[in-house]
Amino acid sequence: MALCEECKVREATVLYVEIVDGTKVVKHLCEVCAEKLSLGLPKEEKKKKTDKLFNIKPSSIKEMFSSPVEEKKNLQCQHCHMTWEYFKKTGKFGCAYCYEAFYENLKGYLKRIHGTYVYHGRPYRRKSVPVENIIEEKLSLERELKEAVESEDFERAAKLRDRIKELNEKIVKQESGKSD
Amino acid sequence: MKKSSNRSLENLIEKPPFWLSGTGKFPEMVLSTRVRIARNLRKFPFNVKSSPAEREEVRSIVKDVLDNLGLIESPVFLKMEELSELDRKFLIERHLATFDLINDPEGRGVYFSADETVNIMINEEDHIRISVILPGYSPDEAFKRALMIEEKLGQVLDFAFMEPFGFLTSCPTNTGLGIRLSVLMHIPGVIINKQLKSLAENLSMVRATIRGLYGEGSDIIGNIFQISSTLTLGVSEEEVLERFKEVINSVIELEKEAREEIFKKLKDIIEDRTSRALAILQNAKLLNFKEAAEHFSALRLGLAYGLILDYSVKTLNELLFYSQPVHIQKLIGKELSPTERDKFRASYVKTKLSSVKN
Ligand SMILES: [Zn+2]
Ligand SMILES: [Zn+2]
Repeated sequence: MALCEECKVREATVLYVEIVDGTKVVKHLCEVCAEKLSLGLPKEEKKKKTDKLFNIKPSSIKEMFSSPVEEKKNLQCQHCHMTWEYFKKTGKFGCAYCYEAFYENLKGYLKRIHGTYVYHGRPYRRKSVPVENIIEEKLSLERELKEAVESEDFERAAKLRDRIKELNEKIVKQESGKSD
Repeated sequence: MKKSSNRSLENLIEKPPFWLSGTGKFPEMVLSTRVRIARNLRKFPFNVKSSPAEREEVRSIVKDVLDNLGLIESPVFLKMEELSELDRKFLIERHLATFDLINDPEGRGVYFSADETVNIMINEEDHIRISVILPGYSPDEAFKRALMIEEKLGQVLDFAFMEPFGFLTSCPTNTGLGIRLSVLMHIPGVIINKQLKSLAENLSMVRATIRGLYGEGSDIIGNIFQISSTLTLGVSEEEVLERFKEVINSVIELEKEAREEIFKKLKDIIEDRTSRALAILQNAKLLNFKEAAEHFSALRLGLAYGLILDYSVKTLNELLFYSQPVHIQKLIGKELSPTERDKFRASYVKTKLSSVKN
């Protein structure tokens, strides 16, 4: 059983990952040290350990830390097959849908890193159908077209060509409308 | 197929990026300010799970959208797999790539403005990483420009986003706003005063981190450090910016105080160090990068104290960045052994110091 790299006393149960511009730092920590590292040290300890160099409130986080909730086991993302256990080992999600699959465990996990799991930024809403949907559809039609041509199904190929042409026009229209 | 040197890279080496121009606020102390935004496309696997073919698809979609939006002036687009190893490393020194972008290069790329102010890495750890880098201390302007590009892209592309977490990123440390602000700072005063450890601890309490020029675990090089915000959840975009400014203003004050104190106590030593640094840089026959960076730092500090009048911040910025190992090789136009590099570095520095005054 691995010990916490910080206190070297308690068992390491948390993978503490920090990425700063491509440099990854991974620490195996216990819950207590992970909490300390992600939130800053408690006030009394702070004074003893470090000279106060500047006068800034320690944290502007809007949510308080709560006691860890028990983790659900055997969670897996149906899209990329990432498991919760493997995610904890690597500290990287496999795809956007992992966030849904790991939803319950993630709240606590993100709280340990950030002190909260709640986004407070501006709302995000796309204005129209994402252009990559169209591009993606086009790519799959092009694959079908190739098959149709290879199997000499020329009637189908002609239909596919028409649809690809339509999509091309749509892409051009979408993007030129966006540059205002 | 032999990977020949890319022509747009030859143009790069000739012209330093705008962010080295020594303009903006406090340019001697704050070399540059960067705002980086991480985004992903909802439908595609993140890059720990992506195949080269999936990455290529993401890359062509993002490039296509960038071309059509026309947000970036005279853009340059580079596919990582088409570059030589040396050119990829050159991009890292140039802040136009990271290790994650060049390691396993298939399907990854970078799209950037000719003046290197804006760069968009495609398929780094996240599908999209928008960076705006400006000279000196310019957080407001860099922030505004990066968010503007993000907004335009987000109207056309389907970014991975989910309540209550916000923008979904490959690494949970970026989940939420996915925004990171950072500065490259020259803080010899803090180092001479032995306050680095204390500064690092103070920064972690306010959710910021400090790294060496080349990241965690690297040596102290030229007393230059990268200080970044790590806030991304529980706060708004504006709060992150305000918070970052509060932190960096405090570090600037700390460094200023340290410098005043040092000058009072150690005036003779500082003057001696400045003159020696210049003498060595003007006369050395072999210079390794770390040593050169130390002397450049002494010159920067001498400049701040008014002991050096002949050289500008711009010149000192260029000296430092063009002395990096890959830059020296690109300047000469061929791969060199470490000893050959030290020789060419010494001659490059000597020539530059004698030809450029201010
Ligand atoms: Zn511990
Ligand atoms: Zn997944």
